[in-house]
Amino acid sequence: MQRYLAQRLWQLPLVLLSVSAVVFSVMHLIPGDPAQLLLGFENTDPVQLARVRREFGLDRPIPVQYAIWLGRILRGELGTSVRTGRPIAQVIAEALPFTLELALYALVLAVAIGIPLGVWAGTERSRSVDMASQAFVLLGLSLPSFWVGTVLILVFSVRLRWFPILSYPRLVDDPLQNLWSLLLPALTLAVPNAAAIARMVRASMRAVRSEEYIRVAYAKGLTSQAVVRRHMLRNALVPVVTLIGIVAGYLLGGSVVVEQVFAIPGLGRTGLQAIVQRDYPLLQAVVLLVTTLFVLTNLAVDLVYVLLDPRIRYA
Amino acid sequence: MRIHVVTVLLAGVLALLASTGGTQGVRPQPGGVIRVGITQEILNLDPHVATAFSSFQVLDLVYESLLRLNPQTLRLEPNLAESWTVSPDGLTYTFRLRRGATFHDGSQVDATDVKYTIDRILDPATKSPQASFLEPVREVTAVDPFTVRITLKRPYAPFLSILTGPGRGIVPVNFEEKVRDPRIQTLGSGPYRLERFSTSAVRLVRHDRYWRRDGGGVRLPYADAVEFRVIPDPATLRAALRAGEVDLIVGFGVDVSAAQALSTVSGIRVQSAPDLAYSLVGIQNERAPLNDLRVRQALSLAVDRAAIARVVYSGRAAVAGPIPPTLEEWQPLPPARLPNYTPNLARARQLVQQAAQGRVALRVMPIPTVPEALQIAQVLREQVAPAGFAVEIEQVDFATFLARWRSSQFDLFVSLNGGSIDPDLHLYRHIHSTGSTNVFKFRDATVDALLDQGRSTLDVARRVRIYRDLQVQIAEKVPFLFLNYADVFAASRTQLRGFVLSSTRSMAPLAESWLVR
Repeated sequence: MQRYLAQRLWQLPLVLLSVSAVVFSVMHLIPGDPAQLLLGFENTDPVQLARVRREFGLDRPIPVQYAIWLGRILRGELGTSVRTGRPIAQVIAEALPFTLELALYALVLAVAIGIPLGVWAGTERSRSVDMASQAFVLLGLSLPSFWVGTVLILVFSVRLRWFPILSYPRLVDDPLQNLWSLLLPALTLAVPNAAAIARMVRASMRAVRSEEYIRVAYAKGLTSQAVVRRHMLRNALVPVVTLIGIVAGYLLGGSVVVEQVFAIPGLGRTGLQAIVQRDYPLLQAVVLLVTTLFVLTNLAVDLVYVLLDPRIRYA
Repeated sequence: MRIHVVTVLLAGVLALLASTGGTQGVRPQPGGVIRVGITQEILNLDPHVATAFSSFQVLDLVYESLLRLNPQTLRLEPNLAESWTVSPDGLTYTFRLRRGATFHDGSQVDATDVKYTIDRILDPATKSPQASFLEPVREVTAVDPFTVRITLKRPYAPFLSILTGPGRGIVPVNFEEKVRDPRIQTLGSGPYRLERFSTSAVRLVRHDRYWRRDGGGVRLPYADAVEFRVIPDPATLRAALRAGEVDLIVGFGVDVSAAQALSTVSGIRVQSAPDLAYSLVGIQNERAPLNDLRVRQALSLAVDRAAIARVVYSGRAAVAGPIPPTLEEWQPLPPARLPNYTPNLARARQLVQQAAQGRVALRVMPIPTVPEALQIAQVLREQVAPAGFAVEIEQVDFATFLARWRSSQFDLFVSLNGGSIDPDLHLYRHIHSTGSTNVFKFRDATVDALLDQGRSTLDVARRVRIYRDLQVQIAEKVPFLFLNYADVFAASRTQLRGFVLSSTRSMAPLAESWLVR
């Protein structure tokens, strides 16, 4: 187990290195000059442009820029944002809590909605229940989140005035208000993922339902609730946990649209702005962070398998 | 009888009181927090270095310059300078400074601060985009604490217009040492000072010793604080206004269709003003076949500007040439009197046939940050097709647009150019062969000569005549297509009073705004 863990953690720097190299080259392949963006649309003084390029090392060849950046990262320096001149560590420290909380919140909601719904649809034999759950799955997966978010705002914030739109107090300052105000964005993020989880749970429940040991369990005289919980769900959950792992990774890096619609100053918006402004060092830092989180989440999922299914062992 | 006279007098006084109350509305109520929603992140608050429009929206309330542009009349007014004189040769400007204007740290605004400010902008180490505007300055001298003399290298007609706005805002001597990081900290003399800054939210609180007073002698500003909140999605921004979470949105976020929708919502007030900025079709004048004057004229004749105003701006845009129609004192020529402005497809087709063999294939690049640009490109493609142009639309992201714009790598683009109250500032840099933003590669000796004369002539009547000739020359030679000056909109909650939208989208009127509570 420990050897396995060490081996997996070893892969992390390799993954990070290749991802950063790909992002670095792609960013430099697309046109656009961060120095010009910094100086603005109408400032065209070539002396000032040259000065800014030199200041940020943008006048060096791209491989050299990459090497310099890599050297700094190895020393633990993230550098400063080209766009704002602020330390990147500080920019990320401000944005990360929002994204982490939103991702976790959405994950909890997705699981809380997706698993009961999937179990219900997978065990109930009535056609109308199955149809209803299928309809939710289809709508949840196909409605774009920018649309769902805007509709939720119009209904619950503008018309009913249940939720504030813009004030997101920090979790430490006012936990209840924080959870309340982030409910709509978290729900928007959770809906497509809840749908995906529900579909997966329903399918694996149906697969497990016809297994021999389920019939045995019923024959033992167990109540159907106990059969579902102890025998069906636990076995059906292994593929679901894989999906939840993927969902978690997606939520950490994929909340760009929701952060934009709900005006949440999180990591997704920071990354998007960094791309738009060609803020190379900031984007690299965001990508590294998201990649690290993604790899670690996947590792955590692999470890959860052991808890769920004693047959799985890592030597 | 006597009683009767008294009652009549009393009734008169009452009527008078009622009528003054009626015209002024509710009396300004001090206090409260005005919340402004904006779509763009606030990147930099250094007045001399900032370039983003969102930065200037905040800085409008924090920094002040020597003169001020009246938001309604668009005329120059005294501000930190109480009065000024210009020498007959146009080379020496002497400003008398206002006594009693203070910076947010309580220190007096004096002549050395003005000198420090202009020197800071001109210092190459500051990397100020404002430097080119002040390039004609030879020297700034603090004559006495309240007198500043600025000498110029050559006569420069738009000089006073340049000394307005936060971009030329006065900062105290040793500003950089005092504020440590001017990008995120401020020290100005405006009605509000910075309390809290992040790229997504800014809070300003009132400058208690601000010098300006309203008509009744009450010290401005009225409100205790102004908060700017960044809401990048325009639909969410408008929802926030309707839900009462912001009090005001200006310009970006309220386009013409949103303005029409919001104007029917109770509790929301929509204002409009004619913009100084104009939409344009940029032309690369060195590329064949656009280097042929006939092809450029054909393009201008094939475009129906009035139809673009109708389709893209729902009719809330003016068709006009090189001078904004709002600047009546500069006598903008009506479209009917500008060459190549009245649509004529037959003539356009004829010119294309003379100049080129077969259809002229062109690519047009709309600027992605202005939603109307893509619509204009689509209308343009349809309008010019019958004249023999095959236009292909090429959509790129903003950084790409900027890079190609900068290096003149385009046939055509559609964009919005910021306008100015002075025709020199409005035209010179785009159209003069040495102009800093002449990405069109347009070169014409007659146009250059007129632009140079307009810049060096101080007599207003003579300048008007110069710019009248120039308007015709520009329309004749088609450096690029001026299309429309659209209306700019603001939407506010009816509780917000006293905010009057300006053509410049300035936030300065917030100093005289208050909330009914």
